Amino acid sequence: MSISVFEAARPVFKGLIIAVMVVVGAYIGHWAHGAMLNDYTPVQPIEFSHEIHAGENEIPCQYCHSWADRSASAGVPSVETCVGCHQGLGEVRDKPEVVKLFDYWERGEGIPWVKIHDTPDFVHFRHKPHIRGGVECQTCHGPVEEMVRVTRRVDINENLRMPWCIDCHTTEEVANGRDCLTCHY
Amino acid sequence: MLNRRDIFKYLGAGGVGVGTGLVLGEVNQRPLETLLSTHIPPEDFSPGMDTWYNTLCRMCPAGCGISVKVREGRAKKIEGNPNHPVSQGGSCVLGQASLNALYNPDRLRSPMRSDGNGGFVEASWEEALADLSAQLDAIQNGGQGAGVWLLTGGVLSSGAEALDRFAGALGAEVLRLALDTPATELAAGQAMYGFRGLPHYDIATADLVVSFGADFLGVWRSPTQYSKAYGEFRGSGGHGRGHLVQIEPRMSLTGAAADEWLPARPGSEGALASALAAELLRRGHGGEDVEAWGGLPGAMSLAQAAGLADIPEQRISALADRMAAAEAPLVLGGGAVSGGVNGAEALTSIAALNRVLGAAGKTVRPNLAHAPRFSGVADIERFVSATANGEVSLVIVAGADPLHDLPESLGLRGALENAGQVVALDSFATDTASAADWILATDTFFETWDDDIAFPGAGVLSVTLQQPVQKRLYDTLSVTDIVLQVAARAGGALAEALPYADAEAFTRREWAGAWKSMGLEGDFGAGFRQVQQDGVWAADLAEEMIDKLSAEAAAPAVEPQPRFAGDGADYPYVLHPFQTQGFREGVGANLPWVQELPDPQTSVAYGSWAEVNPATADELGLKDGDIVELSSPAGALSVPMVRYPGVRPDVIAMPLGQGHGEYGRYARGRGVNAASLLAAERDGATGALAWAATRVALRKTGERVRITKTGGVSRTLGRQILGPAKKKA
Repeated sequence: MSISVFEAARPVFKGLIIAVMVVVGAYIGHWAHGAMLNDYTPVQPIEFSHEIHAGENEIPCQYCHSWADRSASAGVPSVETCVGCHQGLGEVRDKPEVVKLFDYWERGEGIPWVKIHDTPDFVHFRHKPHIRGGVECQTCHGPVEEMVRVTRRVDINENLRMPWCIDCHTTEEVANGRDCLTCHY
Repeated sequence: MLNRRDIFKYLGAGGVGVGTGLVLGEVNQRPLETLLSTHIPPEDFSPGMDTWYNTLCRMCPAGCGISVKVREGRAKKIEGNPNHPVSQGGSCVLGQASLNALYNPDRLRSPMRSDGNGGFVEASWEEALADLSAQLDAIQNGGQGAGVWLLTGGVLSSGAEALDRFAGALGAEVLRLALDTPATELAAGQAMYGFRGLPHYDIATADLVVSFGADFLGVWRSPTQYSKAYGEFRGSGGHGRGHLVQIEPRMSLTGAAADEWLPARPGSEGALASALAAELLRRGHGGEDVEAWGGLPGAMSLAQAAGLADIPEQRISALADRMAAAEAPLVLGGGAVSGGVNGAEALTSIAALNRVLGAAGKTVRPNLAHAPRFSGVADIERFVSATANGEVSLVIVAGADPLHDLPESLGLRGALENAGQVVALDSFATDTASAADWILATDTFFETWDDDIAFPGAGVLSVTLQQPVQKRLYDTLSVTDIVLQVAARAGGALAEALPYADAEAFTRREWAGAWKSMGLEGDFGAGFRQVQQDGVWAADLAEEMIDKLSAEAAAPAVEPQPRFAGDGADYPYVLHPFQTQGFREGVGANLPWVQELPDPQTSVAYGSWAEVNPATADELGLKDGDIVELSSPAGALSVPMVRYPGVRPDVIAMPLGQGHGEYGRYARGRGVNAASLLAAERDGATGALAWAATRVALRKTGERVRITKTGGVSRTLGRQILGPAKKKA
C-alpha cells in the first residue's frame, strides 16, 4: 500500500485556493468600490455649477472662498453672498436651482454643502501658506472651473496623500517642508 | 485534478470575496460631512481662524477675567485673561469646564411651565412674561409688596443692581443665599481693621503664611489669584522661599502644599490664634495700636491652647518663634473656621494676630470693593415662617440653588411649597428651579452682558466686563433682560425704575453712570470699546486705601470655644464639609469634565465619599469602599468611605457639591449631598449659617462598592519618596 502525500494534502490545497480566491476577490471588490462606487462626486443640495461661475463668468475663486489667503479654511460663501449677486440677476431667477437658493435665503438657513476635499484629523492642512506661496487652487482641487458637479481629483490614491505633498514640498524647497511637525501637530 | 465542481467552488469563493470587498469599501469610507455654511455670517465670522474675546467667568464669585477662543461663532476654549488683575492669565478647573455649561445637553431651551405633576412643559416667552408681569401688576396695585421675595446669590454686578432695583420698586424682600458666605470674615475685618469689605491678602510678598483652614490654593475666595501669588511667595518673586503653615483638621490642597500641617481640633483655631497673639504681645511684639490692649486677658496660654487644639505644645511654641522672627508674616482664616458657631470670633482672633504681627497695612490691605451682605439664618427663618403664614404670594429665584446648596434643616423646600407662585430664572432645572411653577430659561455668561466687581479682588479695584462671545444657542434671555422686560410690561414703579431695553443697554448705562467716578475723562463710547477689548477696568487705589485701615481696634474679648450640634456621646465625630475646586457648593456637578476629574487628595472621581482616618477606620473595621451611614441631628445618609490619613481621627470629612435631585443627567442622583447632614446652627456674633458645626455618628452598613479612583495605593511602599532626605553614606 502506498501513501500519496499529494492525495492526502488535496483537501488542504482546495481550502487554500478557496481562501486565496476570497482574498483576491475582496481586494478587487474594494478597489472596484473605490473606483466606481465612491462618493468623490456627491450630489449637492443645490446643483451649483462651477463651470458657469468660475468657467464662463470667470469669477475668481477667492471672490467666494474668500478666507483662503487668510485662514486655514478657504470657507464657503454665506447665502448672503450668493443672494448678493443673484438678486440682480433676474434672468436666471426662475431656474430651479436658483429658486432653491432663494428658498434657503427666505428660510434663513445655511446651505448644507457636502464636503468633498478633506484631510484626516491628524493632518493640519492650512490654505493660507499655500495660496500666499502661489499654489494654484487647481493643483489640489483639479480643474474646478470645468466641473458642473465638483469631484475630488480621481487619482485619489496619489493626490492628497502624503508622498504627493512631500514631493511638492521638496521640489518647491518649502521651508521646513519636510518636517513632521509642519503638518502633524 | 480540477473538476467542474471545484471550479464552481473557486469562482463562488471569488464572488463572495468581491462582495465582501464592496461591502468593506462602503463601510470603510468616510461618512459624508457638510461644510459650515451660514445664512448671514456674524461680523467676526472667519472660518478656520480664532477670535479671542475677553470676558468674565461667572462660575464662582472670585470674578476672574477670562479670554474665550471663538471659532466659527462658537466658544471653544477658555484661558485666563493675562491683563486681568485677579486671574493674571490663569484659570481654574471650574472655569475651564464652564464650556460644558454652555453646550450642556440639559440646558433649558425655552421657558418651562410646571404641569403640576413634577414635570415641565415648554412655553413661549410671551406666555411666561405675560404671566409674571400680570402677577406683578396685581401685586403693585394691591400693594402686597411684602408678599414678594427674591432669592439670589451674592455678586456685585450690574445684573445684581437690576435685580435690586426690581426688588426695591416692588418692595420685595431679598435673601442673598450661599452656604459659605463672607459674613463672619466681614465682621472680623470690621472689628479688627475697622474696614467694611474683605481685605486683600498679599500672599506674594509675605515670607510666612499661617493659614487657619483657608484652602487658598483650592477654593478659598480667589484661588486662581492666590495660586499665582503663591508662586511668588515660594520664590519666583525674588525674595526667597516663604514658609507655609496650614492649620486644619483635614488636609486640603493647600495643606498638601504646606511646609507644616497642624491638624488642630475643629473649633479650636480662634483660641489658638489668640493664644499666639497673647504670647507675641508678651514677647513685645505689636505696634502702638495694639499696646493699648494691654495683652489679651481672655487668651489661653500656649500650653492650654495646644491642649485644646490637640497639637504638641512644642510645635505651637515653634510656630510662635517663627512668627516672631518673620519679616512679612500673614495669617489667614477661612474655610470651616469661618463656618463654626464661633466663626466670627475665631476670625477676629486671627485678624488680631495679624495686627499684633504688624501685618495690617502690609500683607493685609484694604480694598474698595464691598462684599455683598448675605442673609443670615434669622432672615431665612423669617422667610420660612412668612410662607407658612401664607404671606408670600410670589418667590423669584435667580442665581441661587438653595434647595441643594443649603442644609435641608432650614426648611426651604417646605417654604417653596407653601409659597403662592415660584418663578426660577436659571439655565438649568436645578433642584430649586425644579420645585418652581415657572423656569425662565436664562443665557449662560457666554451669551449676554453683565459685569462684576471682584471681591476681595487683587489689591486693586477692578470691574470686569462680561460680554457675549457668541450668539445665543437657544431661545433664552439673561436675568437682566427678563427683569427689564417684565418691568416694562408691568408698568408703574417697576417700569420707572428700569427703563432700559435690554441687558446691553442697562450695562452700558451703568458704566456710563460710573464713568466719571472711575476717574475717566473723554468719550465714553471709545473708552468703553477699550474696556471691551481689555475685558476689565482696574485702578490701583491700594495706597490711598491704606489709611482706611483704622489705627485702633479693640482687643478681642471673647474666648473662642468649640461647640457643635449633636451630643459628643451620640455623635462622636465632627463633620468637616469641604468644597472642591470643580464642584464648589454644587454648581459644577452638571459639568462632565468636573465629574470625571479625580479629587486631588483622594483621587476619587464621579461620586461622593467620606474621609475617615485609618486609625478610626481600623477601630471600626472599615476598608476603602465600605458604605457607612452617617447620621447627624439633622439627617442621615449612606456613602462609601475612603481611608485618608490627612484627616483627624475624630473628624469625618465629606466633599460638598454632589447629591443633586435634579440639575440634568450628569448631576442627578450622583453621590449624596453632605449639606443634608448640616444642622441649622448659626454663628453667635453674626447670625450667619454655621455650616461646619455639626457632629455625626458613623455606622458600618456591611455593604461595599468599588470606589472610582485613579490612584493605586497612597503608601510609599518603602521607596522613601516622602520624609526627610537621608544623608548619603
